[in-house]
Amino acid sequence: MSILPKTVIAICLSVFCVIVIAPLLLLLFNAITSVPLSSFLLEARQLNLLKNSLVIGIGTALFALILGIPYAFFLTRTSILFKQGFLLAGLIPLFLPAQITTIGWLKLMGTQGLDLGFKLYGLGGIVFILGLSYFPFVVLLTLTGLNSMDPKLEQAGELTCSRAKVFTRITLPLLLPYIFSGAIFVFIFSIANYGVPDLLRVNTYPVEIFVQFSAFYNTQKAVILAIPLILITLGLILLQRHLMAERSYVTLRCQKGIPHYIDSAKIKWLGIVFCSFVFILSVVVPMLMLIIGAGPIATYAAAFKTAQQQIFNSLFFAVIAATFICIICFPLAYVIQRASKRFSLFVDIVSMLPFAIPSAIFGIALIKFWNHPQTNFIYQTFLIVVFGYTVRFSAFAIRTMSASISQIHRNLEESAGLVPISWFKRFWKILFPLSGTGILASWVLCFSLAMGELGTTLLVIPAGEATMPIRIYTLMHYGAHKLVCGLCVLLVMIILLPGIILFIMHNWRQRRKKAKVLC
Amino acid sequence: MRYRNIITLFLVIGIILTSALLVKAEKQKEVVLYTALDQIFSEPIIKDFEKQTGIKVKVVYDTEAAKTTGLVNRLIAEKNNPNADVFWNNEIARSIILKDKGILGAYFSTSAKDIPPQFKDAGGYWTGFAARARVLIYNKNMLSESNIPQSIFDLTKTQWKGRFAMANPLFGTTATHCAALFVKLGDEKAKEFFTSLKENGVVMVPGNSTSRDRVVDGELPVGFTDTDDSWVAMSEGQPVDMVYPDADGLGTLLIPNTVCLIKNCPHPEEAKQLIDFILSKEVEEKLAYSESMQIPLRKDVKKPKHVPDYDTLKVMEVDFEAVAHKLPESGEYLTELFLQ
Repeated sequence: MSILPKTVIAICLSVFCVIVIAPLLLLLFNAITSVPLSSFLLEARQLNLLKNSLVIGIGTALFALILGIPYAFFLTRTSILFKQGFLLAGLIPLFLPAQITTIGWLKLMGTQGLDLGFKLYGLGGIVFILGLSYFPFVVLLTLTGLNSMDPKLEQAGELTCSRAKVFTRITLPLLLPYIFSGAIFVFIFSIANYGVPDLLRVNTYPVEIFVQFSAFYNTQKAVILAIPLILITLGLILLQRHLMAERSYVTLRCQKGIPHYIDSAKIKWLGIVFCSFVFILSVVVPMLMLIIGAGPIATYAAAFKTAQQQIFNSLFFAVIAATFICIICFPLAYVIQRASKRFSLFVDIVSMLPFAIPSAIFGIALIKFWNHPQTNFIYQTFLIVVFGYTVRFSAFAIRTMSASISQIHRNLEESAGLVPISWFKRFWKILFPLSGTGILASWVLCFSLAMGELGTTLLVIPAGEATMPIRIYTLMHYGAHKLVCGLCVLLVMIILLPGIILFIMHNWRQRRKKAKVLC
Repeated sequence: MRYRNIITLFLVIGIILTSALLVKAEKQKEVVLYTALDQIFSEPIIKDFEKQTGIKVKVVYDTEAAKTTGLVNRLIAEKNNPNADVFWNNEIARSIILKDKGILGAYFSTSAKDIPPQFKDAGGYWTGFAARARVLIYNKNMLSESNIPQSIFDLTKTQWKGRFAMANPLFGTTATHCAALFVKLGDEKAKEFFTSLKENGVVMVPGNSTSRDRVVDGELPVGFTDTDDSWVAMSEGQPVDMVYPDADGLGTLLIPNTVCLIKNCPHPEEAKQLIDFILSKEVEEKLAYSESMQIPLRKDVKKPKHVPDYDTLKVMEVDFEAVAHKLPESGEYLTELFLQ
């Protein structure tokens, strides 16, 4: 028995379809019907660019695995110090726009920086930076895998086998679906990334799409060129679903049973060194370089003064968008857990597709779909920006919330169904409090991503408005390096703030709960 | 505090903010401007206009650097329901492309009477003013006086192998420059020139400002860039200077700003007022004195010493229409050549 009535679900689903699917379908349809068949075939040069992108995707996924698996392992299977701190540290890179990380690293190791015998410019550098930006996907999924594994299996294995054998024969096979799934996320994000390869001077397949769009104003051809990326993403989503089967992508709950700790002091220290090292590479170095680049405190005051309005706008758009996305996506996440597989496949594919399409092309899709005299109240106001963020980030919200809903026992809902009160009261008193963490986590995630979005915003921002990333971008061209660094630091701080507050609050609650139990 | 309370709080704040914004009624006269000129230069001018006329200008800013050219794409996408009234482009070729795509409306501004005819469209679809030049920036610490390249064709010589930067030739003023060379030299010779640039190890960078930065940083001695980008570094006291190339040959390419009226725009009267203002001598003077050091196209506009006289420069004579029409073809060739 479902707590949410069918009408609510239907309304949210239709809003989701209109906002997310319709613009995309319109654009794809226009492109496919107006371009000759021959343009579907790639030339040798384009294939070469596609190869570059695939190398970046595979390389980044591997590097992210190298960083992410041990990281998650140290957090769950050893009793290292600052566990909660490292958990937070391992998630921060997800909130730092990859381009900002690149700018930071270029300050250290660019042409004017140190020579560490490793060149940042080139495929290796891209894999390095993107790996540092996206490894939290692997950490998150591996953590989920490790936490949802029954420790008894490992314990039973250890009775007869060595620890190494237990790891390779029991732990790893159980973890593989999660690890692969994390790698697939990393792969999808890195093949579609345009900004980082551009800064590191490598031509990739998305550049070819941009050339069609920006140099020849041929949106249709750009869309057609995006089809290989769409197909690859689609294939990977299907593969991921197959691997994960009924498993959840994120577990927000603690371990089942007693975790299997390794208490060796050596391993503990190794864990601290490894996690600190990853944290330094992924967060400290780029941020420190930006802080050094910004110089005195006065820069921040100047940065704040020049971008006051944009900071307010960004906050406003991001708050509204995150709230809107959570409202629309919650019923969908609920249905994914409680309805047929086919439906959940449909929502999954639709919400993930935007990652394969360059953000600027999405901007065009939104313009074509919404810019009509009848819909001016959307296109000419902040609503178009909110819709843009919804298209781009609903997948995150849906996955996170659906994971937390999956952990609510159906018995609770069924019992609630017996009480003669309105559905809203049932929802408000039972479902909502039980999935609170998931909703808040989605909100924070969407807020952070929306704060950093540039590609789509640039094309649909209503006249007279601008966001912080737009301001940073326009300043970057002019060469105001100090101000750019200052603004980047401010942006990162604003992005991280809600996440850190949520994290501290969560920990505090957990501790209070523990304290109560002890009393 | 419980999660539910926090979420409710967020919801309430969200709803209040949303309704506040939707209710906000704008009764003031307004005009919508899309501009590709850097905000830092265009904003003071727009403020002046607002002060003078009391008309509110709503602006969308952009830069012409690689990967955006967002405004042109946006104008094309908005064709059936234009939102913009005026497009202030910081170059010329894309204005002509917009004219060809039927996005611009005709307007002969009274302020533009004394602008030389080669910088105005015969049909009134675009009007040029305040120009930038395509220059070679060089690092004074790395080159002696006699070594400074005076022509862009010098860069095909072996002494410059791997020692000069050029922005991505598919975007921005670099694309316009390349198309102009195709028009002036003819396809054969232009292709030969670009092939030899490639063979001579040209260092490809994302934009003109990056080209400048790499020369400023002393990584390369020479780079193709624009006057405004060079002057930003020169006025900061960096050890760089610029050459207006081919003074005794093809001449230096000047790329004017252009201002255009959008066809069927929502505020045509205010738009014309804004265009008249942007094309005034005062604005050309302001842009000459600004850090973007734009070169006035009219003789009687005051300017600082470092801004060259339009008359004393050897200017490359090109038909801008032909250049704009050449862009797709030159772009295709350069994609094949450089984007690999």
